[in-house]
Amino acid sequence: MTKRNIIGFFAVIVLISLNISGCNSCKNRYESPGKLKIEKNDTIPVIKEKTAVLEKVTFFIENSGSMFGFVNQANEFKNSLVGLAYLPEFDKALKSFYFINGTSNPLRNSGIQINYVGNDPEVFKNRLNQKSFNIGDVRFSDLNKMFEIALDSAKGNQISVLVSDCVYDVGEESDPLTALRIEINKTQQAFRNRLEKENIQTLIIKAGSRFDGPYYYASKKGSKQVNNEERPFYIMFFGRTELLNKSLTEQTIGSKIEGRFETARFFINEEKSIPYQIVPSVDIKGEFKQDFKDKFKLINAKPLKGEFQFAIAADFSSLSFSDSYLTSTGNYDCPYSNFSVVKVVKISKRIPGVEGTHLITVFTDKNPVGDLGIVLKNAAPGWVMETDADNEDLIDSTHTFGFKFLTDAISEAYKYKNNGRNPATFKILISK
Amino acid sequence: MSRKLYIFAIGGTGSRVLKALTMLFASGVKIGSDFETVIPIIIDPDTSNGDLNRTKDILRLYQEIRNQVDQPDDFYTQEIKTINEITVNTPVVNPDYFQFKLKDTDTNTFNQYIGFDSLSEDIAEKDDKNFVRLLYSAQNLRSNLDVGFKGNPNMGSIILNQFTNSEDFKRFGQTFDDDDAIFIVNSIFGGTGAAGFPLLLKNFRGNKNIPRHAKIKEAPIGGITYLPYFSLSKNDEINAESFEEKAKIAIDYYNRTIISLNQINMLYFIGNRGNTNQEEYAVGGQEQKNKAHFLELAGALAVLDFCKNINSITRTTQIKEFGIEHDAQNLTFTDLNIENAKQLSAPLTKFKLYTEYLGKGLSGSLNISRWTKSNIKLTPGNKQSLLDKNYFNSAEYKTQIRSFNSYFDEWIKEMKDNRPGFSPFEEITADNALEIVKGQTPKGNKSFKAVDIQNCLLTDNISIRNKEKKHTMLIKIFGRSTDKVLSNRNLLIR
Amino acid sequence: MNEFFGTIYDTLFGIFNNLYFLIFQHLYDNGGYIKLGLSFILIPLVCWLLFYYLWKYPYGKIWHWLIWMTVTVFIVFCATYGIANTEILGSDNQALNEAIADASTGYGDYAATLPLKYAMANSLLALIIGFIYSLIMKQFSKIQLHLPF
Repeated sequence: MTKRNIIGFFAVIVLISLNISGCNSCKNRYESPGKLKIEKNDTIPVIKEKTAVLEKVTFFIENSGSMFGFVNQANEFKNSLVGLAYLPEFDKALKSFYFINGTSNPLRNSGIQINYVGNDPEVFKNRLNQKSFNIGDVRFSDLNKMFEIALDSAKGNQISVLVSDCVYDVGEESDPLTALRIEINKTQQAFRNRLEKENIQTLIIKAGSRFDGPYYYASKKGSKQVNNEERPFYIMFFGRTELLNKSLTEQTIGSKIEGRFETARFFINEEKSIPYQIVPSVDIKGEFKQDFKDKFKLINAKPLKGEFQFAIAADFSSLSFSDSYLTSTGNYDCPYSNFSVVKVVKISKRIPGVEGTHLITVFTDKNPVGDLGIVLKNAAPGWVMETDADNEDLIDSTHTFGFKFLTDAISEAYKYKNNGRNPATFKILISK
Repeated sequence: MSRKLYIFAIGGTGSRVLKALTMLFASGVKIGSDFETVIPIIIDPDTSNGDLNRTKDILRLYQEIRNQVDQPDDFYTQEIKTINEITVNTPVVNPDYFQFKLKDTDTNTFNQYIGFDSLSEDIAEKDDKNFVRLLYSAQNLRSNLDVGFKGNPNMGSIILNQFTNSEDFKRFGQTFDDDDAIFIVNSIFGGTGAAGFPLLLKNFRGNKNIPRHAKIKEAPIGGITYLPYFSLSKNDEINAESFEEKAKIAIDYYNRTIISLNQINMLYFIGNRGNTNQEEYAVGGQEQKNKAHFLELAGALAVLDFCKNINSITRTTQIKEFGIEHDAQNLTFTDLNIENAKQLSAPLTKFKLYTEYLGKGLSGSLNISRWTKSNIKLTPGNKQSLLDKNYFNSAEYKTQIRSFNSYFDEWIKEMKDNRPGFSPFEEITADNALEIVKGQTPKGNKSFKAVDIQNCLLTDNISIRNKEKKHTMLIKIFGRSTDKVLSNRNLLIR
Repeated sequence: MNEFFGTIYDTLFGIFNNLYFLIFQHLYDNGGYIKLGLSFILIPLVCWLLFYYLWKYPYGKIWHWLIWMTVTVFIVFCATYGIANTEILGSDNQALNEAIADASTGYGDYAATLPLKYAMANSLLALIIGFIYSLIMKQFSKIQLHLPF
């Protein structure tokens, strides 16, 4: 071979090698490698928040007789409320504090009494006592009306807060539960009406505080003295989802509420999709390979000893559910498939190539092949059931008479508006 | 219209010129002008003459090889046939038919031939011995005729007379067609040639007994007469010192009888005075095997010149002489006139390279290079070579190709060793094969590799493949490959 | 083509591990598989084209062919090693680089074994495809028609 030919030969080899290796970014530029992938047929998630600026926070504190036990001493109730009043996230907003009691029930010869306390949290703090509470019609409370008024105050860039013990005053009915049901319907109506006009989130915080005073029965005559024992109370926030998510994260709440607390959120599920991806390196049972082209597809799927399991990572950062809600497998469903969600954990240690907040593990001991849909539901948290009591025999730190009816009503109203939408839906295709 | 050229090669010189011409034909020279066939006719009573037999053998091999080449278009292009093949139309190659035999010369002496003994001693008789003694010496009368006329044209003119009434001559006449031509080669200082030349001409132009006499009478006739160009190592019965004297006398005769009477259309003269080669003395027979001389090659060029100008010949005899550009001891192509150089350079160099390759280069490629392999796997038959080991071991290759090539190399070597020498080629080895042309050193690789490469490239060429005619591929592939290789390196004068 | 080559390496040669899926996802997304695949297809193609159509040596023997095969396979080995090394260990994929840098993930150790694995796989493929190229190309070669046989 002549020298010329040898040089030409190596030149060709070099050219090919350069060409091949130079094609570094020639493929799939639109997909930046390593980042979370979104299902192709979903819209691009709108995680960016609207510039929601909180303008006003309106506090409604129920000051019926059954609430007096919360304000006759320094306790968690007072501390939590004051803490919330002084929330840094509320600094720039106008504040208004009201005491609310009375009933709109025409048979009671009463009326809803809304008494303005002031716009200064300091003043508000100083009015949290029995003497200041004793204003308006302390004989009665009207939860439905309170909801209406509070919901109404949560418009535009305004939040409203309702503090109550959430006990429905059904009077001395022979069938208190039926009476409760009737009341609940009105609650549901109130929420439905409000939701027609605006996308309002309802955040219910259940907290506990020392209570020293009479507990007036809602379903029968009389009262019971509770001496310095813990009783539940409820702080309910109403406002646009963006405002509540921004101002009232679990962390924020936790920083101000004294003692244990639980939360439940109700909101309209938006059309946005929650980013998710298959994580082939974790919780594997069986054999499979992630399809390179369609990242929401598993191919060559084969169970091992009859078992097939894998995990997906989801980014729930745009959702305001609590960790306990998100990690509860009962809040997930795999409709029309052989799979079930067996574990959900918060991602604490970074997994290479995975961007997300939680790992959801799904399992089946049947044929894994087919379309798999994993759904995060809008469900009532577990504590709701634990809180509920259908009678007033036990007055303690946990239970609230008819609480489930209340949350069901709210839940139904939101469910109606959601029209089958879930907060998050993940679709995976599994083939052989 | 297919024309024939009859070449009458008289005597030893005629044989040697014919040999040179055959070598040129083998190397691809064609006489052109629509002359399809060359019919050599050797006239030499010296049947065991070395030169004669060498030439006949060369002609035989030429025909045998050419018959095994399908439509040759480079080496061996020119068709050579014997009269017998024309008349009888047989494919049988019998070299004896290249020669017109003389009767009664094998065993007789001259006096026996002329019936000297039957002549009278009486002066008064019409045919008497004394009259004869005036014309022939005692030595002449005693001469054995089987070795020719030993430089005595007076004897030759008598013996050769029988020739024109022979069957051979009659057959020649029968085959003569319109547009055919005749060329005669002779030496003026010899015995046979000096006598035969005018005799032949006289018969061509005047013998009404020859069949198709009318055609032959008007046919274009050319001839080359060799003046002395060599001497002998000693003087005996044949005296080289008498060559010039005899030449003068003969030329005078030619002038009066041939040239003035326009018996011949084109007459070429050639010779070389001084610095001539000395041949080994021999009185004919197989001992007379003169070394090939450049002038014989030049004589072959005369044949080509005659044919080239065949359409412009005149009734008046034209005379031509041969010259070269540079007088040198050892002539190369560049010493020749440019037209002659162009005529000779390409054919001879190609053929020389071809013979050298088969002698020195084939061993390096046989059964290695693709063009010599016939057992290549996964390859169709039309890509397998026909020039495999079997071919090069065949009897045909050995007895025909190798033998002819050997004659060619011998011919080139003899011309080189002669005086003046003709040595345009260097001695080469397999590694410097392309330094074959004297005075030329081509760039790049000089080995036979270039030839092998070209042979590989040509092997698939369907026009050079023929299974029936065994030498087709060899002859055609080397005709092309040597041409390509030498042309690429500008080693040919064209 | 990306998937085709990807399948060759992960299914045929088993160069795949779900635990380090990010590497293979990156190779796919970045066209790394195409580069690897084209290496064992194009380099032998060029090499054998040179051998059969540009190498004008009329005395070629079987050992010439064997040496050339060795050279071709070696070039493919080196090219593949380089490509795999660049694609996996020298990429601009931040997530992958972080994973490799973090010893606790095991990515670094596993990734370091891959260039050799791909180089070996491609060498074998180059050997096979080179042989196939030979059988095809020799038909049209005038000088090396007789090689390898």
